[in-house]
Amino acid sequence: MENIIINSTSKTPEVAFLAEARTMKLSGRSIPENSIDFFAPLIEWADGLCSIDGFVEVNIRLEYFNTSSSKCLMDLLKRIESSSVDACVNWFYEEEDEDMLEAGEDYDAIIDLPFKLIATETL
Amino acid sequence: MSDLNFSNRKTNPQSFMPQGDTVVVGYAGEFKPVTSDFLLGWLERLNAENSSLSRIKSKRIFRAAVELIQNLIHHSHSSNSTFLVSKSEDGKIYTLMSTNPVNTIQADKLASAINSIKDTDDEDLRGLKLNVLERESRSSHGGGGMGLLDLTLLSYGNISYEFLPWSEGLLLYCLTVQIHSIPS
Repeated sequence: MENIIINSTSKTPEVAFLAEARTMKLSGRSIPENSIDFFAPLIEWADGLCSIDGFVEVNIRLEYFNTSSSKCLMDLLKRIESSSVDACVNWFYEEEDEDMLEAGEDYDAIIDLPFKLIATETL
Repeated sequence: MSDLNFSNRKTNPQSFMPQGDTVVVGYAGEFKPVTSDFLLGWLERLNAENSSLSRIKSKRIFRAAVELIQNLIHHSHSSNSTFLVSKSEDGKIYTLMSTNPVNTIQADKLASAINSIKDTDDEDLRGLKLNVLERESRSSHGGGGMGLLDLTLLSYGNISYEFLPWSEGLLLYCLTVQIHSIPS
């Protein structure tokens, strides 16, 4: 499997999906007008990785995301949840940012994967 | 149409600003992704330069702006759309407003959607949001009706709308969201 490395833009996050390390990282902001276009290849890649046995780590360090990204993020996490691999999600948020903490709690309530909510000084 | 808030005020967006407010960012015309880049970049720069604005409040203003502007990009194809951000004299309240023409069917749907969530408490709103996030389908651009829910949560229910007479078969939909200080 090829890695997916995408630099961040003013509307899309930095993506580091690494096949050998079996990690997926999204950081920055995710506010594209069409989130499906952005997330579709990432979800497809995650499906591929999750078809191979082994542990998968997901690291989400998002500063902002729009509501359409939130649905796509849900799709990504649901695909991992419904696969046979063991996985964990590390959800990083700025320590004073209750909105992003609540967003992490929302995903944790829906997705049946080990979820760590990690407060950091800066993202 | 009985639930709609009609008004006869002028359709100049500045007439919706609370008295004493100053304009932070304003734009009138057609909304395209490039318009969004410009407006959001501008708003973000101004917020960053405002040392009295907390980072968390600044993020809330930005998130509300993203939802309002993207709503205009997806649902309004009129050159008569507007987006305006103003702040109160003491800088504590930011008012974000969008206007765009809609037909009466859209107006009924919008009024019904906002009326159904406007007076819902935060906990129930979060429950509704979870439900939409988990179960409901979405539109072709990825949203799923979550924008209004998110705006209501971000503003602690300080969201309101009006419909002004516009032209034959159309009304001007004016959506206003106020971001106050975050309660401790």
